Amino acid sequence: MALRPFSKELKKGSADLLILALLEARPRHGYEIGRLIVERSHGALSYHIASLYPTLYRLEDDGRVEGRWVEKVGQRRRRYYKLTAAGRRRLASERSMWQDFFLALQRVAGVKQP
Amino acid sequence: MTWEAMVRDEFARLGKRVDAGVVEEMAQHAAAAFEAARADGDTLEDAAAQIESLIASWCAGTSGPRRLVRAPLLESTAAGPVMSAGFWLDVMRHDLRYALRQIRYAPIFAIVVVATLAIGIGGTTAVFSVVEGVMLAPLPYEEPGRLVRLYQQEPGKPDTRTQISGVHFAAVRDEAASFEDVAVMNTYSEHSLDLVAGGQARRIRILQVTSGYFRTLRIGVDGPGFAREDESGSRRVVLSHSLWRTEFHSDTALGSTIRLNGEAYEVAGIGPPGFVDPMVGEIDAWVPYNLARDVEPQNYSVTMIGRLRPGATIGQAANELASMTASMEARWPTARRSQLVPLPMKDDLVAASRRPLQLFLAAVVLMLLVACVNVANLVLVRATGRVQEFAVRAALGSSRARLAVPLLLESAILAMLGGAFGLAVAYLAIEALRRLADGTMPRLQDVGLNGTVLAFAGAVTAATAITFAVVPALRLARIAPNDALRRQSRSSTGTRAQGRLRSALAALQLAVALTLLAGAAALIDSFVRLQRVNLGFRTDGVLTFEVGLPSARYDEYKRATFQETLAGKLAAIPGVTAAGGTSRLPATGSYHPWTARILTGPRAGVVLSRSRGVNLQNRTISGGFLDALAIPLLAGRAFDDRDDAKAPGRVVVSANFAREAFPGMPFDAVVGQRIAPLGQPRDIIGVVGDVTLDVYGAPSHVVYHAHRQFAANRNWTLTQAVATELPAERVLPSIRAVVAAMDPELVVHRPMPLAAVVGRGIARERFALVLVGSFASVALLLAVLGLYGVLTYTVRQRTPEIGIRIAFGATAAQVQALVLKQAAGVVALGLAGGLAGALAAGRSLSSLLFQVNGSDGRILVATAGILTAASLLSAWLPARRAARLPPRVTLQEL
Repeated sequence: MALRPFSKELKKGSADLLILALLEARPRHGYEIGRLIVERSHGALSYHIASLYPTLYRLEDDGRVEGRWVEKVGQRRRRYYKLTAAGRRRLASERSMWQDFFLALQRVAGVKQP
Repeated sequence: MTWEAMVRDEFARLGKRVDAGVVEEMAQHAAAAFEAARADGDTLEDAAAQIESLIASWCAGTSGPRRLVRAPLLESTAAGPVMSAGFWLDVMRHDLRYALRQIRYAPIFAIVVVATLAIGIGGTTAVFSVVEGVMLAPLPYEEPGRLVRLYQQEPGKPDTRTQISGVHFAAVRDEAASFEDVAVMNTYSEHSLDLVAGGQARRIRILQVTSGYFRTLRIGVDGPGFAREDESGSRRVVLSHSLWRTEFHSDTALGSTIRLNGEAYEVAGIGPPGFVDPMVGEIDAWVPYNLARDVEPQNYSVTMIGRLRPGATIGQAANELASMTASMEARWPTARRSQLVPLPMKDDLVAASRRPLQLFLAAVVLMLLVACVNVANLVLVRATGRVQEFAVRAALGSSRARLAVPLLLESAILAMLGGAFGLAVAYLAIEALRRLADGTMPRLQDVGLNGTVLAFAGAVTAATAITFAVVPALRLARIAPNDALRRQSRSSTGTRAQGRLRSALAALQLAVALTLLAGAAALIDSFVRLQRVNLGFRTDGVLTFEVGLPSARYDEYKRATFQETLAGKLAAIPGVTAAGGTSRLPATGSYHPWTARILTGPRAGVVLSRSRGVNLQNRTISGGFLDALAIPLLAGRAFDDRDDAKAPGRVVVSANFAREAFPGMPFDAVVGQRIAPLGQPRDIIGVVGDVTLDVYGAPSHVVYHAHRQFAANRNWTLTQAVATELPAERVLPSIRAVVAAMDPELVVHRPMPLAAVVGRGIARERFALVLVGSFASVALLLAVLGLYGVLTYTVRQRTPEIGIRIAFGATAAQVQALVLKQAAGVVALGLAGGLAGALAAGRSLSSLLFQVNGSDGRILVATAGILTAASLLSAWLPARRAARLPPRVTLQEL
């Protein structure tokens, strides 16, 4: 799986998108986010794990997600992240941006969705 | 270490402070991910490496105000050098922890590395300790640089160099101005006396010395010691400190009397504790040498030492002695060796050991080299497995130095462990070496783990660490992150260059191993030949021992009777076939090379003396000595009761002597001829088979005298030889009983099988063989393991390629050929280098070889064969594994 240099912004953007999207349904903790990225992409996006926490902390600093320690009986406390309102807005705009991007790819390069 | 600590360390390493929650969160994730990876079947090492690189990138990527508490790196820079030092100390501590963690993840790797290093460092240190103790350490006497050993030679002919005559010594002592003091000691034959103390008889080692002995060596004797007046056979004795302590419980006063061989000796002094004679070693007591009786100027038989006057050089002393040559020649015209030459005492002592020791040191350093290369290869292979982790670190901004430091630390820790265990190995090896080398070189008692040796071990450890650590660390730190990251598959991380380096290292190992192996093979061959030398007598089933008779109670008649009675009683022990004594056992070197005038026959009037090819020897024998050693009678008869002191003087001669003195005459005709050894006419009554002079098979020309006729000459201490098929431990009690029944105060001294006595003659060869042999074995094992490792690794690396080949129809044989081809390249390179090394080594080995040429073609071919066979075996396993890889598995690795 090779990544070419153009992808730096793309990569950063896609990381944001992935995390925000996974938090859309419900709050999750870091390991769960990581696991879902690997599982749902069948491993193709595993490299994102390496930047998982830096990205989460950046999103938190930017006010798009909010982390909170949650304690449950008989379990270690875990830090759950949930989307803020700003996060939801950001997710919507990211989605439409990526949609436009793929549409453009499809028109120009014949890249088809499977 | 916990994951939490690891995350905390990593942040600290990067100089970032974060709030505790971050650490907790990442650690949780790491723990879960690690378990998941293990559950997926990753190895402990792989899983740990994977998680670690994850943590590294998380920590490196974390920024922004919320989670970062502060950035101490910037603060510390501003705060000046004190904080900065503290910061670096912190970094070092974290690097150290990181290194320890890496070692813990791969315990087998660590054990193999430490064990290999321990053997290499330990062996090298042990051999160096012998070199240090024997060759390098100064003599343990005051101002040892001024001590010299003196020899006597014909003017300008160093090859005639011998011991000193007492006559010349006395002249030099009185006239030479270059010396503060000089002395001689009688080291010609070992001298022992029976000490009876507390009702128990014990044989002690005696050294006869002149009065200047203790002053020359600057030995502080407690007491007056010896004066010149004592040099005419005074019954005075200086006791060694240990004898004084053990036998006299430290309470014998100066001037009191002790009994040696039944005679009264006045105690003239007690030696200092720990004093060891430089030439002879441990001595129990010193008695004055009877210089007054040493009047024969050609009797070059005493060992002379001297101490140069302060300021005098050895060159000046040599000049002065040379200037005395003419006058000495004029005074004693019969003594042609009229020139005395001084040599530095230490050089003289260790001269014979220098060459073998240098060789052993070279051999062990070669073994160490193989060990280092092996470890370097292991580190290299392991490091390539970590390429990805390093690539990530490098991509995230770690400098090369920061990347290399933990690797170097890891290697340094392994090297230190190797060094520590190496010292333990050295300690054990030194004990073994000292036992093995006993009797082959001087000063072994000084060998041990002292400061110099420890410093050497430290230096060797540092050198090995550098050899095996720095190269891989530099290679790894130089990795281009792009390249490494692009190759995501963990199995294909080695580069071609690294593969070539590993192959070259494996070839180097094989070359060194072959060099050592060839040396060992030459030594084995030589040793076997030595043992096959026909000595002319039997060595198996003969027990030897000595009995000394006190002159005070035994006059010449009693001594003559005693020896014959003893031989008879010994022969009567059940299981004993023959017994008798000799003044010196055959094959143990030259003794009494007296000249003999031929009185009859074609060479009548000629005086035979020891010269080129003629090893004239005289032996005094008793009882059935010739029978006991199975020396065959060729003509005439052996000694019997007729040959007593009242009968005309008779001798038995060896075949070599008969041929030399009576050329062309049959042995039967030699019987009845007459010779005059030491000027005393004798009838030849028998001719016996030849025995050798030494274990190397040098011929000897022997005249045997009957002890019965010769007892008056001196109080002979005969070595008794008892022929028996029974084991020594069953016969010895009977022997002791026989001796005790004859005289309870006598000592059965040094009972020993004849084979062991003769075997001591080849102790030097055995020592060399065992030493070089074990170094060669270790080197061969390591080299073969090294080759195996390289090939196994390559197969793993080339698995996808092999899979494609198999998928496209390559046969198992073709795949095997692929791997074997690589092995063949490495082995060919190793053989070429090794043969060159073996040729060079063969030349330097020659001094230790007997009838063998070190660069003998047969030996080279044989050892190259062994190496090739071992290499093929080690290549066969990975090749077979490669051929059996199922294509599906191999392709998945793509």
